[in-house]
Amino acid sequence: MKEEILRIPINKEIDVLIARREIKSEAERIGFRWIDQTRIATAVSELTRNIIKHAYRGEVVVNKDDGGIEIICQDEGPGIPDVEQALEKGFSTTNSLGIGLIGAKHLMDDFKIESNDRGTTITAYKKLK
Amino acid sequence: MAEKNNIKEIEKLRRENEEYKKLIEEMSEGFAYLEEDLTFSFSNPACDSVFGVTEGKLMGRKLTDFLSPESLKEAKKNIITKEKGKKSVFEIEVNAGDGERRYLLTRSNPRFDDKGRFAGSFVFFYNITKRVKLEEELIFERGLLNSLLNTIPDHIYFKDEKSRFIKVSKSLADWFNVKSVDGLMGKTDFDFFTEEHARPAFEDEQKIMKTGNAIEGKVEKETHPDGRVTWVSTTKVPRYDKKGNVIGITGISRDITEKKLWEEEREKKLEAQREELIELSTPVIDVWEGVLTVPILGSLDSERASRISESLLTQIVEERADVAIIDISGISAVDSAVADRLIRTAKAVRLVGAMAILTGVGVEIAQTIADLGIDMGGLKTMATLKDGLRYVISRNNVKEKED
Amino acid sequence: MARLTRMHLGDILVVPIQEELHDTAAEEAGEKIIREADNSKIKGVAIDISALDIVDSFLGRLLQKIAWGLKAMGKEVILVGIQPEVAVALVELGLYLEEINTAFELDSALEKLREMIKKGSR
Repeated sequence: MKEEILRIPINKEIDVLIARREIKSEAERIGFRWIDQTRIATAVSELTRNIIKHAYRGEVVVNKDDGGIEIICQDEGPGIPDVEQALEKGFSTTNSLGIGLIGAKHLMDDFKIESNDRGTTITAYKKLK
Repeated sequence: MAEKNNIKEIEKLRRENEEYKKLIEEMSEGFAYLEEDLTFSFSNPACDSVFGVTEGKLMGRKLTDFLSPESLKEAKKNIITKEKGKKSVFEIEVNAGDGERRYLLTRSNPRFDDKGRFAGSFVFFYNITKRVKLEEELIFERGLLNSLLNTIPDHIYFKDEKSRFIKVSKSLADWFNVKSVDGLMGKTDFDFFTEEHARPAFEDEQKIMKTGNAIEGKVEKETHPDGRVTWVSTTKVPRYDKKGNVIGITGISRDITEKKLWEEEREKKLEAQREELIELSTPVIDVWEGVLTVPILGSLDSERASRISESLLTQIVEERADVAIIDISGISAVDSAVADRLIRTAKAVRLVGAMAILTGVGVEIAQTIADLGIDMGGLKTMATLKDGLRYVISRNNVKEKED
Repeated sequence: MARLTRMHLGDILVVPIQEELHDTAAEEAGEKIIREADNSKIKGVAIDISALDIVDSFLGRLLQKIAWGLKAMGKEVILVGIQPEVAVALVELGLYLEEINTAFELDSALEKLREMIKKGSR
């Protein structure tokens, strides 16, 4: 059963630190191994930073189910024009959005981007192993 | 003749009177005559003494002067009685003239005049202060004991020489799901536990009574008939009668189930971790100071590769190793995902401040890596583990020479 | 921004990052390090991040930029105390920081740095 355990507004730079810190301790509480706690927190850092850098405001929602943890980052920014391109490796090295997204994708087990001109929703999932 | 008889009679009466008077004076019980309004009109020395006044000074004073408010009520109810022949016995508390507080058992006999009117009472006072005080102490001590037995969560129990419960705490009744402590009286551990626990506990107690040696803080596993298992820490001591004969045991048991389960849980986790390491069959070998060797054997999937990576990194940091040799000569095949993991591991090893050397990279694996176009980025690879070790030794020698 | 501790050990500048920094603060800290090192006496810089349990791509790349800047100024650089989980995350982010030397403890970092300075001056 899915259960929402955290919802943090992301408006300022400091919110990135707050979000990753809170989510890391939740991950620890749920029983994630130490390396996975850091993976999740780092991914949250990447995704919430993208909100600050590209959309100015949004929020992160954390859901828990029996199998793991789901991180949903939503913003009402301009959207990512070309998701495919943003996730391409070559593109990433020169683009902070790209490296953040690719990094977060690698750190998590499941990664999905929905984006249009009204905003972006990124859903990432980490399995409890 | 009649007159002579009369004189004799009078003489006899006078003598008898004297004797009664003497008897009353020498009596150890207090005796007094009280008027209707409870004024002493006669008292014997024993009576003066319990009321704490000098001999003969009680006369003219009122009983009510000495009484506590409750005793006053009691005295009025019992002494001023209009019924003929009705004796009453009651207890009063007096604040005696010498400052002492005394408890007196009082027996009052009402007197009635010729016309049948109430005319005061003969009253006997027995000093029962000692008994009352003892009772008060007992009640106080019983209160202490009861508070212990009713409120302390530890299980407290007193058993007789046959290990039967004779008094227990409420917590123990609760422990056994028995409604009241009375439900345990005369019962034994065998009525509430399975043989597995009841037998050794019984033997412990019999031994304590035989030897007089207490047991302290013994961790016991309690097995209940419903299959429940609990753990307690138990202390039992022998109990003696006045003559020094052992008459039973007194015990106290603390529920430590939660702590025990936690310990077991932790032990299980440790065991699981140990098993995982064995399963990985990848010992991290400390070859010599500062050099860790990881021979990877068998088949390698990316899950196992990442576990190995984590345990290696932890080990490097814990051992302050500066070189880690990862030997993959024992691996049959490496797919792209695994090759990628191995190289990432080596890169992470470098980040924590150590040097990673990948040895045993056969032609096949080298080909895989080349085909994948994986950036080896300064990662050292050697053909064999031996080469790797040789390299480390020569590097250390160079360092020593430089120093 | 919080105070940034800096220590001079002979010709080595030691900068322990003692707390998590948000992006702007981190950039300011980077500038401070560069400014502090811009001194002919300083030959090497050790940046100690052992207190950090999360290093994301922004901070990782910033550390990289600081190292490049210092190298361009002719200083040797060493990164100290990357925690194992941080190392794993950095690698997964694709940040191998290959051009920066590393050490787990300050002791060995200083030793390595001195060696590097010695070699560099030869």
